[in-house]
Amino acid sequence: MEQLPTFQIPELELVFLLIVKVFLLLAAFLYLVFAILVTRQISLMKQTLETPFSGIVSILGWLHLLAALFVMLIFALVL
Amino acid sequence: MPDIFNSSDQNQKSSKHPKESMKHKSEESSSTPKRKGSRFFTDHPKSKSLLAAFATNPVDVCFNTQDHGEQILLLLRQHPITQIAWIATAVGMALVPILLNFIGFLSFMPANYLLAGLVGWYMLISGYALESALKWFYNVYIVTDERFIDIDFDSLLYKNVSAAKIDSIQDVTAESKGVLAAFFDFGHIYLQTAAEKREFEFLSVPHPQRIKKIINELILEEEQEEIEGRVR
Repeated sequence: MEQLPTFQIPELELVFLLIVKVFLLLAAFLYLVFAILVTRQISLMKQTLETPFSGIVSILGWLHLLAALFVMLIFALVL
Repeated sequence: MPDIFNSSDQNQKSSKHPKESMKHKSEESSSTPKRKGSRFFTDHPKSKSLLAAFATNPVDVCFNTQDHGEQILLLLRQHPITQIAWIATAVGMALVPILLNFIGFLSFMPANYLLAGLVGWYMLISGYALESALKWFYNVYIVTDERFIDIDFDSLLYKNVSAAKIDSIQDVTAESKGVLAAFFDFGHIYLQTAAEKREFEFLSVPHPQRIKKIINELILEEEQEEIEGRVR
C-alpha cells in the first residue's frame, strides 16, 4: 500500500494546524451567525403562518442554535 | 367584495400582537357561520395532519393577513417526493467521513482536530437539512374562500407573500410533466390573473387535476355569489 504523506518538519506542521484551527473557529462563528438567522427567520415565519407544527419547528430552531453555540465552545476548548 | 383594509374592526385588530391576532382570527373563523355558497366545507374532510402537502380544511392553521371569517380551504406544499434531492444529498454528505476514514485520507491529522472536523461536518449537514426542510415547510400555497395566497420562503433572506382574489382569476391550468410526476400524481397549477398582473404558480403540488377542479368550483361559486348579491 502506498505511504500516505506525513509532516516531517515540526514547524510546518504547527503552521498547518494553526491555519486549520483558525479556519475551524471562523467556520464555527459563521455557522453560529447562520443558526441565529435561522431562529430569527423561523420566528418571522411563525408570525406569517401559524400551524400546529410551528411550535416544534421553533424548538428545532432553538436546539440548532444551542448546538451551534456548543460546537463553537468545543472548538475553542479542544483545538 | 369589500376591501379587507377598509374595515374599522380590522384596523383595531391590527394593533394587536400578530400571534394574538392570528389566534383570534383562527377561533373566529372556526366559529363564523359558513357562507351559503361554500360547499367545500361539507364536501371535503378536515385535515389534522401536521406535515400534509395537500390539506383540505386544515385545522388550527391561520396566516397573518387572514380576513374576518375567511376560511382556509386548501393548504398546499410541494409533493414530498420532490424533496428527495436534498435528503439524498444530506445522506450522501453524512457518509463522506466514513469513506474518508475507510481510505485513511486524514489519518495524519491529530485526533482532536479530526473530532472537531467531524462535529463541524455533521453540524453543516444538520444546518443544510434544517434549512431545506424549513424551505419546504414554509413554502405554502393557501386557497381560502376569498383568495389565493402564495407564501414563498426561498432562502433565509428572502420571503414573499402574494395574494389574488378568486374573482380576479381568469384561467386555471394544471400541468404534470415527467415520469415521477405521473407516478406520484403531482404537478404545477398556473392561475392567470387579470391583465398586467403576473401569473400565480403552485409548483409541484399533489393532485393538480383535483386542485384545478376545486379552484374552478370556487370561481363558479364566487360568480354565483356575485349574481345573487351575497358577496362580502
